[in-house]
Amino acid sequence: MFRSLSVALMLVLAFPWSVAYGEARSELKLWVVEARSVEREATRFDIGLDAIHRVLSGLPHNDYRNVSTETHAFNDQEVTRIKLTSDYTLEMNTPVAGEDGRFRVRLRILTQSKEPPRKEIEALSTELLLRPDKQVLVRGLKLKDEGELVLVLALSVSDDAS
Amino acid sequence: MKTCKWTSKVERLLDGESQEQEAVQAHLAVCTLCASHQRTLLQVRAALGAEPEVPVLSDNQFPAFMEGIQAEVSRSRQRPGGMWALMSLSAAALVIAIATFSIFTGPGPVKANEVESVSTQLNDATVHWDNSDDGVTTIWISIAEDDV
Repeated sequence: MFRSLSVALMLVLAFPWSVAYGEARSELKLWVVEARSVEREATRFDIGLDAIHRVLSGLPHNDYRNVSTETHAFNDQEVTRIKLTSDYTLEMNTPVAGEDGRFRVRLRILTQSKEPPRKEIEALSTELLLRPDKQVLVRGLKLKDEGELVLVLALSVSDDAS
Repeated sequence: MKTCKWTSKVERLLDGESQEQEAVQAHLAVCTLCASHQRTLLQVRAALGAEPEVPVLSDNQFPAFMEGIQAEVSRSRQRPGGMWALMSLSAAALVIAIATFSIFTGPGPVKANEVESVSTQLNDATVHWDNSDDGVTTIWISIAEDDV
């Protein structure tokens, strides 16, 4: 009887743990920014970039145009494709919660190869462990004219059980 | 060792089987050997009589005796007792303590972002990454000017 009681206790006490990790839902906040260096003294930020001013301030540009800002909620077992510009596409799998509170994410930025035959290639492929609400900045994607495409990503987590 | 031919008669007297009690009593009054033998026998009997009497189980008492044993054995099985009960309670208490500690302390401090792998298929391009002091992770793709 006591052995059964011990097993039952372990199951009962482990249950909230599995719920906490199993039911966590993640959202991705994504800013797509064109960053350029222009002949102007003051640095200019488009409306909508307030939340990432500090991150962008570290870049060697003075003109930041907000291409898009979106929040994406992930569903189970989903691969998300987001068209960033005519040249770049973001592909991202649903973040998977880890035991240390971080989320494992596979992220690819796809583009067309320059050499014929033109095919889709990975401008970037990376696997990340993301801490919720900590930002990731991806930079160095060349724009057609000049400047670079900058992405800022931040993962937020909500608990469906609540 | 000196013996007397009346010794066996003295023993029968003590056993209550003597046919000549008066003659044996008269002999005991004059024979120091038989008187000594009688004292020894009486002391041995007295010592034996002091031992507790061993209970003897009769045939008609035996079934009741066995039923009593079985009842006691089954009662012992039903009742968690002794070391096993103590160990079970200790294990359960330990599980509760660990689980409670884990629940109230949470999964531990969350670390910063981490880049597990980076790669690119662009020609003449490299990828670097670093974490700033304020926890922002920067991934920087360095692409040759004429690649894209």
